Amino acid sequence: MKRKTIGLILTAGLVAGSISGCGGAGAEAETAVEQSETAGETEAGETEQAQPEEASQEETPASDVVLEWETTATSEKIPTYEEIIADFTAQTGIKVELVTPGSDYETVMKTRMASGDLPDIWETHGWSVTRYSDYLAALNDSEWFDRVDESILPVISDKDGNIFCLPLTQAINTITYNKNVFEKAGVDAYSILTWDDFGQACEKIKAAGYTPIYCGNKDSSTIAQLCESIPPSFLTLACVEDNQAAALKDGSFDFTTYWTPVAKMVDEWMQAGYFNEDILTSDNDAACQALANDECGMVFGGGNNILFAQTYNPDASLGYLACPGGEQDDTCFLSMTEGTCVGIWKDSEYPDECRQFLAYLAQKDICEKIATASGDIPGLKDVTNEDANTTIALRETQKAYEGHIEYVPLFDREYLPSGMWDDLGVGMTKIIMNPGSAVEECASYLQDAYDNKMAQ
Amino acid sequence: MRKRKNGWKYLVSLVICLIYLAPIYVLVVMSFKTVTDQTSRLALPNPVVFANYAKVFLESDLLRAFKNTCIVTFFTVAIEVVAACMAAYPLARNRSRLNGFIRMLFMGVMMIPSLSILVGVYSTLVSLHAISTYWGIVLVSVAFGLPMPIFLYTNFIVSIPQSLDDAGAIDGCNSVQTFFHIILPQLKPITASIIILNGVGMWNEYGYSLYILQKPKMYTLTLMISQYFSASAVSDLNGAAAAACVAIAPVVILYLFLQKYFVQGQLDSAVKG
Amino acid sequence: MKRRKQSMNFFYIPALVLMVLFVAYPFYEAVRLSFFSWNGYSPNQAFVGMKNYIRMFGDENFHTAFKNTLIYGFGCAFLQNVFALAFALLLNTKFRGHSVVRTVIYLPVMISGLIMGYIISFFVQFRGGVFNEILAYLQMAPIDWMADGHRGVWIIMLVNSWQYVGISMIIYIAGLQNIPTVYYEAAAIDGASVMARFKNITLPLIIPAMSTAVIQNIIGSLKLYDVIISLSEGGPGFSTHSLSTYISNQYFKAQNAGYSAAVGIFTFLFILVVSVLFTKYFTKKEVEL
Repeated sequence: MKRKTIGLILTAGLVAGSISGCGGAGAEAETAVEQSETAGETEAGETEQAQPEEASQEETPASDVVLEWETTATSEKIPTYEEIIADFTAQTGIKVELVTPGSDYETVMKTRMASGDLPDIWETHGWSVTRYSDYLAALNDSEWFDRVDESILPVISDKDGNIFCLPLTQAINTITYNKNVFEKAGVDAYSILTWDDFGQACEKIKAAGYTPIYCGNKDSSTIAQLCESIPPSFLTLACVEDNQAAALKDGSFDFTTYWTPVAKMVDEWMQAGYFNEDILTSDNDAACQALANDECGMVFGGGNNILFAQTYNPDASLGYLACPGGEQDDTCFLSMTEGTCVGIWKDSEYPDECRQFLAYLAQKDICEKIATASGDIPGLKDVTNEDANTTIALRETQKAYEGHIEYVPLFDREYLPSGMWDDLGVGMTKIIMNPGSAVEECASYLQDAYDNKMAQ
Repeated sequence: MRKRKNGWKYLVSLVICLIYLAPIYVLVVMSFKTVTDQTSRLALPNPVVFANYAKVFLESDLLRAFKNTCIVTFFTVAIEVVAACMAAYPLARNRSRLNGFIRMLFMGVMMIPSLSILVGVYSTLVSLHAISTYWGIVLVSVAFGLPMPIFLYTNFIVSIPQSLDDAGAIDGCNSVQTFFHIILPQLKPITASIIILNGVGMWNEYGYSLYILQKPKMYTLTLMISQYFSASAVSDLNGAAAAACVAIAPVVILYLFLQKYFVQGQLDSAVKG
Repeated sequence: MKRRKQSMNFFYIPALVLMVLFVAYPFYEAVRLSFFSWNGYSPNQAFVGMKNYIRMFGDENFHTAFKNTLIYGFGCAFLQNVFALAFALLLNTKFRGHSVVRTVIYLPVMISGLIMGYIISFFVQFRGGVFNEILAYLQMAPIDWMADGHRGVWIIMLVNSWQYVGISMIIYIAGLQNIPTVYYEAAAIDGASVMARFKNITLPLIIPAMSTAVIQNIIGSLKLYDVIISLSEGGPGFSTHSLSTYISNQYFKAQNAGYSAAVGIFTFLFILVVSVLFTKYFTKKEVEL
């Protein structure tokens, strides 16, 4: 008897909890709707420019075409995309289905390539030439072709000058720093011109009680961001004497000789305690939070880390450092890569509609909207988003380093075989796990992976 | 005296319950806190906020994931039950060389860790255009899940006297009629056990869903939850906790109500095949 | 009568078709791929013979994954059975509220391993994790629980054992209830101690229950996958991977599909051997008694 009552109370409690949960959700729902309405109002100002066009095509042409657009967008960007799609559908009647696999994007795309069943339109995230060009339609004859920014054009062209994507935005990949932390530590950001200077800056930041470099390496691959920012100064910049660019590409690169300086430097940082304590278990989200809350000096990686950090603290004072050179008088550099770039499947059932959609995206105001939502720089010449925080930060950096800076493509996309990004992370993680004793292991691991992937 | 003797049992029981309920407690508490709430995860929410649940239900596709999970679970279990009790009938009644072979085959399938032939399953599904379809995940899950129910049914049918079949044959029933009229009605209790066990297993399935159901439209609850925890650049652990609560609530509630059947199901499956 | 028996064979068809299509053929396909070098998506597959299998001998990450799989498999089986038997003995004494305890212990079995991993990550996180909060309360330095691979493996093993102890417990409770009370009564008259009664009556008579529990636990834990994914993603580095997670890592992340297939075949053979050996061992034990 007693047993039954206790069981009954337990279940009753649970049911009651779940019911009250639902009721509460309903009440809360109204306020949430209200909020999104006000949000809609503020954004209405931006979309107004598109209005006249919409008005000219009053009657919506009927169409039962549904395009599938697979994107890397995560929750922050999805509403912007959906808004753009809704406007496009209203104008043309063509529906677009947004597919957002999030962190599984690459896995999904690889498996879809294997099965020969690709979406009509997808984002190429830096691989439009090396990985995806066999599956994409060349887009040189598009009307927006002449508007592609010169700085991104070489990055997305194959050796015959074909391009396979519409570069709506270009992304910066470099070091994001916290101005308050630098000030308190007494470091002048733009006087960091070599990796030695960088090391000294770390020392000062550490002495001031902050974490110099925050890296969220739970997935064993965020550490690979360091491999976008360090190796070019030792291996591939135009000013490097013993230049390895050709060797990297033809498969004869020797990691033991040339990678060791890179690995050694990271090892020294690790031993000196420049990284956050929980480097092996935290994620990039934690890094952005630390950046936002003035807890760390620098984070390596995409320029949109500023955007993410500012979701936690809109007033965070952040900027970009150019990656330093290897030796005195070497140039510094910024990596530029495909940001939001979309290509069309060459075997798509609806090639014309796809091109129509790309042309729609290439419009000034839409392109600007996407750039701002992504925290990137527009990839079309006539589009600017100068008042977006990320662009402001970039312009400031460009001015500070003027005449002393080189723009390069992302190291792994340009010089390493497809699939090496993961290996870079695994190799560098060895150093993080065994500081002081894994430099050789790292180099030999990367050599094996490189040889294997080159042979595939 | 007697009271003191039992005292340690209550103490131990209390500790066990605390250890077992703590994770669920933390999950529920987190789901009622805002992201900015920096209080201890062990502290009760103050104020209690329902915003996470509102967000989960309104802004995300959790309801669709809920529906997908129901569809996949239902069809997997249904097909499994039908195919298993059919296969179990000849396996229990015939003693031929063919049966020996088939028994071996079923045993073999049971031994294969499903993920060890991921590559093969995946490329097969690709050629059948079964990626991101309900039937793809359902049929693969059925195929890997079949051996266990087959053996359960076989054991059960063996315990039904052969004389019943023979009586049916004398009455002029063919084997199909015998199966449907004589054997099937007797299988009810074991079927309940199978439905419960495989249903829970399927509700919680993750390994294969991840690779077969790639389009977000097809996501099941487990996939949805993993997206919540990992896929966003700006994480919302409290929202994720709310989503997780929604995902586990149905099975937990069912379990509390139908505990007897769950326990019986577990015992049935433990009888060696 | 013989024709009748033959006509029954048609009942196999649905099950056989499904298994041949989705298990046997993929199995063949996996075996084939294990002899090729393939990145998992390009049309180029190159035959490399036994190279993928030979590569396993020199692959440290594979060794780690294999070692971890053994720890997960046997460690979990051991812990689960020890605790399950202890819980069962406790609950079999039928004190007030024992069924509530049973309900609570079996409850986590209902929750997906993936979600359970995420829940536990709320405890082991470096910043804000429950364990570190408790340490801070005790004025001790925080620990980055999952940063050390060895500790990570232990944590995963404990979590998995803890979650599924209920299954074995129920099997043991049933086993205990099947032991006729007359045995204990007789032993009590002979003046046997509690330990002697456990050793001479309970243990031998519970062997059938034990064999099922142990085999189920070992096979289940050797296949461990989702809790690892949500708790550590196999990291840091490769230190907490199991063979199952390593297979999917090699196929999808590292783009070594052929090698991944070879590791899969190895895993299959290994689990096969282990289950056959254990089944044989316990069958022998049961016959002996």
